Amino acid sequence: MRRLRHGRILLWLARALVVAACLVPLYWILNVSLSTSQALYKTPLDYFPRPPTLENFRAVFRVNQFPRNVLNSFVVASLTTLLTLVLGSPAAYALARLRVRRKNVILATFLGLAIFPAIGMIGPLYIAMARLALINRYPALVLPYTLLSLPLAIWILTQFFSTLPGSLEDAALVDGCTPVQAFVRVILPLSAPGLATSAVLIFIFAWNEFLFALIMTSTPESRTVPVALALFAGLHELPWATIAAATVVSVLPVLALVALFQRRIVEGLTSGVER
Amino acid sequence: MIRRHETRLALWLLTPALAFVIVLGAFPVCSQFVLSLTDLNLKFPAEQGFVGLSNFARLLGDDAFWRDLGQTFTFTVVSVSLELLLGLAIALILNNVIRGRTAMNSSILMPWVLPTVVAATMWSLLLNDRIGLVNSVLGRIGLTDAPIVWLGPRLAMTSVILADVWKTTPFVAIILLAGLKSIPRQYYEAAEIDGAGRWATFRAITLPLLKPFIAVAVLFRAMDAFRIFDLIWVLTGGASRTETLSIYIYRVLFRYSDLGYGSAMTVALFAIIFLMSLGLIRFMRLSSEPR
Repeated sequence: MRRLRHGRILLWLARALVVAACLVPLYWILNVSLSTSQALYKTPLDYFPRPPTLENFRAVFRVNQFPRNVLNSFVVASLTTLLTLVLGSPAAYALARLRVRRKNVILATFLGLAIFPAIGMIGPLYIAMARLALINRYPALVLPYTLLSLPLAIWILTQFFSTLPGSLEDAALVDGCTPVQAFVRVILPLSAPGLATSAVLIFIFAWNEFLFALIMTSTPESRTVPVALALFAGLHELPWATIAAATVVSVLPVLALVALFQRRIVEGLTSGVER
Repeated sequence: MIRRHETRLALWLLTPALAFVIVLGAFPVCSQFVLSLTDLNLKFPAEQGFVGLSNFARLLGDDAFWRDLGQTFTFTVVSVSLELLLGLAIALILNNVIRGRTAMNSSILMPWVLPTVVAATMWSLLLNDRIGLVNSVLGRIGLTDAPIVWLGPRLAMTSVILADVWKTTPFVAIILLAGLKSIPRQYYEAAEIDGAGRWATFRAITLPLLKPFIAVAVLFRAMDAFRIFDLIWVLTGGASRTETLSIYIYRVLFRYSDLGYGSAMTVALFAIIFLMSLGLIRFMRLSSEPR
């Protein structure tokens, strides 16, 4: 009995350690963002902001085009999510529930795309975007991001559509729907959880993407948040406290998504491997 | 009749996605293969032409390529192994949590959903030799006398691996947690009735049934680790022997504008990742067959 008790205490200690390992670095960034620049150079360091200040956040929104960068990221991530779902869900529906000729070839195409090094696609895509005069504009990011997130979205949605009962379309057809209506009116609404899962993962991917954003944009006002942030830090043009504040601003949307959709994200990540 | 109708509908539904992927995806992928056979350089656009396989010959004699291939390999093997071990430990620790599961899942997801650039910026602050938290804590508890230069020549690779392990272990843990949940409870009950110890149960039940999940996690992680770019780009810029193949390709393509050679390296990287994935899948399949 006593051994069991010790075991339980150890287990909870281990759990606390895991949570701490994940959260302490994040806490530190928050702490620095709320401290004065000078506080960082004290020895020994203060582990709490004393006194707390919002000056760094004000500085971030004064500096450069940071508010514009946040807006860019929102627009790019939202458009990517929308376009990927519009293209991906009909395709996934067909793959999951209809007879498709050469299904394996189609799946292999999407999969091969997923393992090709992104760095290699950038050059040709850059040239194409430059020819179309799209550099520094939203499509230069939305189109490649959609390309990169389509395989994952189709994968998750195919898994999801195939779990719905097979008699759904039949019932809709008996009620006089056309096959397209059956998909739009019956299947899509029932798939809201699957769509939400993919939407969250696509949004996070697009919000976080760096390499394409670095190359497809060249002016401060066209950059997305990760690039703006990397250039802040890289150029050492800002004090650490301001960089920390910019970091906090840039992670808030994804952290909000985790808090709201934690279960959906876990579902999405594991949908391919369960069974 | 209905069947033909169905295939036609399927074709219509698939066309937009396929057309998009072929127009936007097949074009860059194919042009990499074509460009890898030329000496196209944007700085000297006049002197371009077909050069056969000479870019690949140049690759074989390029010391920087072999050095970066080795570094990429070290990074991939060490970080993916650590992530697998830690991820397995975390999955076992968090399995069967009932109270506080949402809070716990959310906290372990946080590192994974962070933009890589943010994680890298954060770690370069934490590991800063003068003002970083890590050196401050180590100094305060008396483990070190002098501050450690984490991002200097000696420890840069270790630090980069540390940051990667922090960021992506949660992914492995979540996949393996799903695996643990898929193991029927009866197996454990049967083992208990047979008087099997914990270690024996783990080896005879948990590990074999977890194998497909381990395979997926390792495969996904290895493919990503081998292509790593942004984490290292922000943390060290590729200095101090941390340059990986993706960073080298970036240099060749966008600093030297050497499209031909850069494309040849991309094709080589693709081939290596492809072979590595095949090898991993084969290895996993062989080792999961009954002996």
